[in-house]
Amino acid sequence: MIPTRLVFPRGATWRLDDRPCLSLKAVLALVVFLLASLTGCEERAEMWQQAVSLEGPEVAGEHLVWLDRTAAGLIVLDAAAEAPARRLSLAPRPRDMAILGNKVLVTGGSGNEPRVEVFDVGEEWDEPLSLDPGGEAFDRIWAPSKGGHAVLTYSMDADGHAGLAARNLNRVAVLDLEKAPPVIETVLLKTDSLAPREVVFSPDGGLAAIMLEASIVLLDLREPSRIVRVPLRLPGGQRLLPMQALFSPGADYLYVRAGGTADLLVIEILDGETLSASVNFLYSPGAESLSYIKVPQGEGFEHYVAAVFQRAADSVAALLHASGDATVSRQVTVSQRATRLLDMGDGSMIIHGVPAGAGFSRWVAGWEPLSSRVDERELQGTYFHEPVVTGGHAFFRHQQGAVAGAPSTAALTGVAVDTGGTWLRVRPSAMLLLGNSTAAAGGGAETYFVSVDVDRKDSGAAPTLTGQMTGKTGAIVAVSGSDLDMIGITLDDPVAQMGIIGDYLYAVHDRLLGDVTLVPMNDLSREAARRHDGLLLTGVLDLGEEQ
Amino acid sequence: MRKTILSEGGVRSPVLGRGITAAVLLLIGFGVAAQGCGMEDSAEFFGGEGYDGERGAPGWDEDADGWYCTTDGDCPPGMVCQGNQCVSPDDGKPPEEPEGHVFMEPDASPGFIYALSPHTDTLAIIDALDLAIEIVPLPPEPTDLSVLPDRDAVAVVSREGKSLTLLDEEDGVWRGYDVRLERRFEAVSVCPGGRWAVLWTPDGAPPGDGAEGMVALVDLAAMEAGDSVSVLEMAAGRRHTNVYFREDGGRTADIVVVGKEEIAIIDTSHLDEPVPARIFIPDEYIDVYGRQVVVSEGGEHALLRSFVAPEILVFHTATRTMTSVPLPAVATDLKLVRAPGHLVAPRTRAVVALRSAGMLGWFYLDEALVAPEEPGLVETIEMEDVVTGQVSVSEDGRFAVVFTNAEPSTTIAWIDFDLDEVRVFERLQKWVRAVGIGPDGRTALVLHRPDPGSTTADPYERAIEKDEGYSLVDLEQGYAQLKLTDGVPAEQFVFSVDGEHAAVVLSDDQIDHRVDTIDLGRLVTHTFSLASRPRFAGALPSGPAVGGDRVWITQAHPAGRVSFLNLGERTLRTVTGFDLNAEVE
Repeated sequence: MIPTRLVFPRGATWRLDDRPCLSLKAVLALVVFLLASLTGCEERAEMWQQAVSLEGPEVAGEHLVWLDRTAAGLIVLDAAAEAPARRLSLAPRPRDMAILGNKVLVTGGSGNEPRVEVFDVGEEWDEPLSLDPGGEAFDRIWAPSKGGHAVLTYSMDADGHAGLAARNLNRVAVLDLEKAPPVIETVLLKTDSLAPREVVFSPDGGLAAIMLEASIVLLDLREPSRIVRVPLRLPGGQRLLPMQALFSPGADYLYVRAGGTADLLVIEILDGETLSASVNFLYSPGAESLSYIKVPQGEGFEHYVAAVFQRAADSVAALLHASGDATVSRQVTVSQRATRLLDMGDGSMIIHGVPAGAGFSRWVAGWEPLSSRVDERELQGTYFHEPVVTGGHAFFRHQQGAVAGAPSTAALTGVAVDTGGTWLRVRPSAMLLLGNSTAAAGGGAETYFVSVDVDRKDSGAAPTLTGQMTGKTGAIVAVSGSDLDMIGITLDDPVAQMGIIGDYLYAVHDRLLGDVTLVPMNDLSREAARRHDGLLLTGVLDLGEEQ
Repeated sequence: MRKTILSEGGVRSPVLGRGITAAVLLLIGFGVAAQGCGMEDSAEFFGGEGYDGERGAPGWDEDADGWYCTTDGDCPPGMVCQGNQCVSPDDGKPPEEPEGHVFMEPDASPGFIYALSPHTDTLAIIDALDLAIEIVPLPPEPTDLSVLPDRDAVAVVSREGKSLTLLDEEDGVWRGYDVRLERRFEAVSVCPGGRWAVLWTPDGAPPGDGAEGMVALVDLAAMEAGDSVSVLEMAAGRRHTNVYFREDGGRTADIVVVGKEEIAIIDTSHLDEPVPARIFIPDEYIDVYGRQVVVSEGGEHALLRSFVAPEILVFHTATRTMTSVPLPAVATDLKLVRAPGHLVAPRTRAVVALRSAGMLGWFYLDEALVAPEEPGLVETIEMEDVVTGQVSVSEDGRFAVVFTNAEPSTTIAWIDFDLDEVRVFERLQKWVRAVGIGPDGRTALVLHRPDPGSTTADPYERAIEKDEGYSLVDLEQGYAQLKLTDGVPAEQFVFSVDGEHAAVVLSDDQIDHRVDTIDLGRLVTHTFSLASRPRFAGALPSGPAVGGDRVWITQAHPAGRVSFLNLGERTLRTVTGFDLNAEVE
């Protein structure tokens, strides 16, 4: 596949108020021509004839990282520096990438020469630590948010394995970066499930729960021989498919939502001389299904898990104690179909779901689990996006007024839970957006960012590269999570994806080429914003020269 | 004996009835103890084994609370068919529904509760103190267990695995011993001394190949000692309903197997005899659905009650002899109580409900064996204001409650044998279905049944009559507290070991399952929801660190579920998935 837009093959960077001149564009057009000519080269033809396979950007410390599977490269951009992006070469056929702090972990390799490569993007070295996990290359790599370990697994739907007629998908490996030198240890799970589906980690990253079709395997990553297999098969043969698993903060419990039961499974983890576990089922009387689970944060929630259950005509939000003690559990009945929980971080939660008979509208309830106080409210509009909690609000993006012939308008509703000595209220605040929202970022920060498509004309954006002031461009609106105060910035292209990296907000305009704008979160001005175009073509010409 | 009719809690009219004069007799019930060695009350066949579940075919009709019939031949002997229902020819009333609601499965030892899982071939052993659960794998299809008396040990028979397993706890460690059986047996009973286990097939269970009428003896002491254990098989008649043991001088002298037509007695001193002695049961008592077998403490006597004969058949185990004790009418219920005497040795007393005669009767076994037809042997009391269909006796044997559930009734009577007093409670707000008397005999729990066709004019009262519920009755003070349950029937009740609390288990068979805790002193209840259908409930023993106010409730769940209810602290903890835990490795 040949990019058809004007791009900057080595990656080009400028400030938004310092757009490249046309003469530069002409030079760059020539580069594109050179790129196109690469397709005539047999050695490069294979690369360009296959579909581009990209992953990213992911955030590794202060860096944005893309995995280019097609060209076996890692593109790294330092958000804090004005330096150009770097392309790091990978072993052939990279399959998956995971981030562990400043480290980027990539599994790949060809044939029976599997590799696990570790890049420390915070350092100025480009040579990876390369390890051989043995056997056949792993398809997936999973890493916790902190710690020094990662887990490698096969995937059931991975294509093109190394010519073997069979694979033991119960073979996994643990990458230990805490050891010097780092090591990889292979572990056979020995379950009757075919393949791992997901791996979740304890908060300290020392324990992994590998979820398979009808079992969960607990693995001590610091000592992988300490392993516990928990089959999720009921007497009589019924299989329970784990759908969602969450560790408790102290990693003494694993909470599991599973298909095939309306109960919430609690696996108590006994970390003694040997690793062992026992299973209990928490329940809500009369529940027909379990929709969602969440481990609440904050004081008073130790050994508790929150859950929403569906019943025939309503839902139940429950705060369940891991011990199975029903008398210290709490639950409230809500009138509508509850599907999700949001932790507001102050002891309250927001339950949300779909009102009866209203497919795309939303219903919310403020809930204080420890006092069992609840207040419900229906939100008008059409909702497609998952809400984001930032500051003291849960932000819902939606369309407003798309009924009765009225034009549809993008809107944002921030929902807060207000509590007093004896009362609790859920308080929605609606805000109008002057265009369709395309992406959002927030969570953990004090400010919620939402991108909006606006008309380029009169927006303050630069003209297109062909000098036109037509069509749409992107703007970012920053909403204070505490008081809903808003400021904004206009960018030069629509935004497809947003995220936060250190002190910066990044906006991805074109996912295929890697056009990105970085904006300091404390200075939402075009002067401070920095645009990078064609990041994913960084080093492509170098590759050609190497060839 | 004074008779007092209480209404709204007040004393209305004392009436003197025929009474007893040997005043200071304390009665001790020991029915629960008998259960441990398989001395089940065979009256459970009403609504139990005989129920075929379909209206239109002869058999117990649960909806109608009666035995459906089209001809007299469809009814148990002694009953006649009237209006498609089997009734007593004496009073035209259907048979009493037995007290199936007081549930204490014999699967708890002093320190542990045992839950079998035939599906996973495991036994869950639950520590009664810290509720820790240990899963023990067993040979295929474990079907029954029997706890060894006064110790933490249990014998389990595995039907498909053709084996008997003995599990014994010592210093926190469980040890297991297995012995291979020649046939597939369904049930196991262990003698009070814990030496002998009897493998048998209760009537109603399909006999395994070649096990029809067979029993097997296993020496558990030899198993524990690690000696070579041989299984002694014996032919013992057919259709066995009860197995019990006669103790003599601290040892099991006889093992008794009650069959349909015969009683087989195995003399443990002469196990080399090829065939056990057999005693024929009179024709009046051979219908297993219509008879009740009750065994006295130590297995000295077995008493048989039948619809057919106005008498009680007493089988004296040691002498292999039978004696008939004539009654004024057919007995509709029979209880045995141990009555410690003042300056005399404890005596065993049989209490009989004589419904068609409107009487409650009792006699002493020792007297009955000497002169069964002696006039005055059977003492009776006429009870005009209450139907004497069933009798429930307190643990200490001093008190009893009389009631019926064979017809709509809102009346029960309380008998204080020490004070020769009868009190009638005739203003319960709802019909009686079952009654349990508290351990101290001063409180009763009355499970009600609804009157769906109530036409009472007062809409509030009508709603009460149509609802499900139960009443707590303070028998001393004479007042009752009704608890309605929103249409959810109360199924079972359990009194705690401390006697101060009780639990009532409720279920609508669909999704509404609950347990109510009851403070018997204050008659106050609290409700907890249960996750799934309750099955069995029982009281947990007390210990040095825990009180006697705990109850366990097993519930239906494919992976096993049991709840522990602390009645005093009102806490409920549920453990689910212990079958699944057996697979965790």
